[in-house]
Amino acid sequence: MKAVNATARVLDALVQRARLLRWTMIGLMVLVVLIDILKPSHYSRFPWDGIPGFTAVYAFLGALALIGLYKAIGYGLVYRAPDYYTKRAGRKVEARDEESADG
Amino acid sequence: MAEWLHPALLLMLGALPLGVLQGRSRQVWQLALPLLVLLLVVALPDGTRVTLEFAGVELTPLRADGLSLIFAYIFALILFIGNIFALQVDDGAQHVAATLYAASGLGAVLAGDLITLYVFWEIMMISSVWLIWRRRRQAAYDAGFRYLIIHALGGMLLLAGIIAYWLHTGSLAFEPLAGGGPAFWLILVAFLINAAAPPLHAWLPDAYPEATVTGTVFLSAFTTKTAVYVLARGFPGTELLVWLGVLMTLYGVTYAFLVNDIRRLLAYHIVSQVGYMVAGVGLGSALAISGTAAHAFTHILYKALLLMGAGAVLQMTGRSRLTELGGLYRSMPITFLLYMVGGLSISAFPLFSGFVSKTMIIEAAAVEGRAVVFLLMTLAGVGTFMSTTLKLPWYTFMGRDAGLRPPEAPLNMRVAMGIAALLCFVIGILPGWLYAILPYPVDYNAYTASHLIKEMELLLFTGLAFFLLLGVLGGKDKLSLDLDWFYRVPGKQAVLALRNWIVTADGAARGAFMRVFRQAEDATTHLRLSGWPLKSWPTGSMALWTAIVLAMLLVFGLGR
Repeated sequence: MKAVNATARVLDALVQRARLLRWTMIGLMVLVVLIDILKPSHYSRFPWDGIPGFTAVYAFLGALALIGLYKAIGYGLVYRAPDYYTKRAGRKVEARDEESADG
Repeated sequence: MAEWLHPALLLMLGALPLGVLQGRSRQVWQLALPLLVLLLVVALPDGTRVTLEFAGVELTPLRADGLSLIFAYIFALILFIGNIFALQVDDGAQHVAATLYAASGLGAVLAGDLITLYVFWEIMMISSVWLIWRRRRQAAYDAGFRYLIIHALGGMLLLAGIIAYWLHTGSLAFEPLAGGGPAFWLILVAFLINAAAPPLHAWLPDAYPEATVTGTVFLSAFTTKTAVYVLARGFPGTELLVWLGVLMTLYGVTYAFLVNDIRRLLAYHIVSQVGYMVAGVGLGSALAISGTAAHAFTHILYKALLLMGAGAVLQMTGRSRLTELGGLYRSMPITFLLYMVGGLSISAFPLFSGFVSKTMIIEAAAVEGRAVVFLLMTLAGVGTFMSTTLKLPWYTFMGRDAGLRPPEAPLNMRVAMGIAALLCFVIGILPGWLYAILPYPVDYNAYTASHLIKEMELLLFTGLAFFLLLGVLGGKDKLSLDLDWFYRVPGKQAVLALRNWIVTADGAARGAFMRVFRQAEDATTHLRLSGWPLKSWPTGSMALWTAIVLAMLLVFGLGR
């Protein structure tokens, strides 16, 4: 139990310092892109291998594209009420009950 | 010793006492048995083959080589870890089912011929469904039956394929299958059903989240990974698998965004991760097949870890929907941190296991200059990181506080997660020992400066997009239809309509028969009442009938 509480306290302390964490992440992003720009690419297998920061841009745009895609599929096609299947099954049972009551 | 004691057989026999043992003795046996089997498979020398004659057919129930052994090691290991996680479960049926399931998975990867493979394949299906049914809810019974029907269909296709293969080649040895022909396609489709490849995948995200908390951990390990093994054994270098694998990676991540249940989200990521492996099999080079085996190994560990984390949340809170969870990091901090190790592993974060295995498959695509495959697999990595490692933990453990204050998961669950997390980390920092047990020796270094920079760019900028759009990414209290809709709604309606048609047609036929029967009955009654047969007949008519009978006797007599 002691370990659980201590871990919770550490996590709480980190949550309190959310702003610091955010800036650290932004700093890290800048650093990684800078290294990518300064260091010549090791590979030349694909046309984009020589473009510094390509992966960063690709990941960012890819993330946006995936979010757009799932929203479109969800609202356009596949989202239903959470009880979609159970309700259908329930309706059948009710109908059968009525039928047998009539019979 | 290992040559005459088949590890799968030992495990099957060892499963039986689990049904009757109680309390501490059951727990001790639950841990000792997988360790014993692990020792046995580790002791199996590479190249072991056991053959026997059965009903005039040569069978190879045991074939240990580079490709089968790595799967055997991880199967035994995950049974041990899963059993630690399940120690507190007081349900003998579940323990027996899990052990038989692991044994049949082990038997399938060690099978050297198609008949042995088929037998273990079917036991795998029959034993695993109990891990779903023992949840003892209507939804679990229904999902279990759907699971059973799909896998029974797969089993039949496999058997038909094996018979076709035997008729065509006269052999039952399980070796790479030559392209084309009915045997090739039947066996391939049977394997792809178990690999959960779209459009034959819907059984997985339908059934796994309905299984028991501990059952899902076992389910995530054996069925799909056995399928990856048999694909790697039978269909290396099949071009179709490259594109099917890529489709799986993206299909899985897209659907994972759409669902609300945390275990269903992770189930869709099984589809996605198995996609990398299927694509690796399709690429077929030594690097790709080794990458596939390595990724299956690491995947079993981190996926078990993730599902144990999600299962612990379900066990302690009784909830598994993103919309009902939040803020659990204070009450379940250890589970949260261990889950994150699994999350970082599946996302291929440097220093964690996925980084040293997933990048092998992507590297294999790059080496062959497959630009589209490379880009799409990388995109799937973006989605994986976003939903497994950011979205799920954010809306479960951080984010809006749902006011839940459950106790931390029991010690045995934390220990199981801890061992899996430790292995994920150790493989991440010391990949050498994983690379040493791969089917083909590979000269691959994940930790090059270019790999590290690209992977960090990928993850950090995915994280940026996630946090910028955090407001719209929460779970929706919706059900997302998948292709199982086709057999759950129109398929079911078609079967019911067919049943109704048969009932109506049967009723109509019986009615028509009875009508004719009654008419005949009425006619005879009428005839009897009329007294016509009993009236006195004139002599002339009697003479005519006698003549007719005599004439017939003459005709038939002449014919003889």
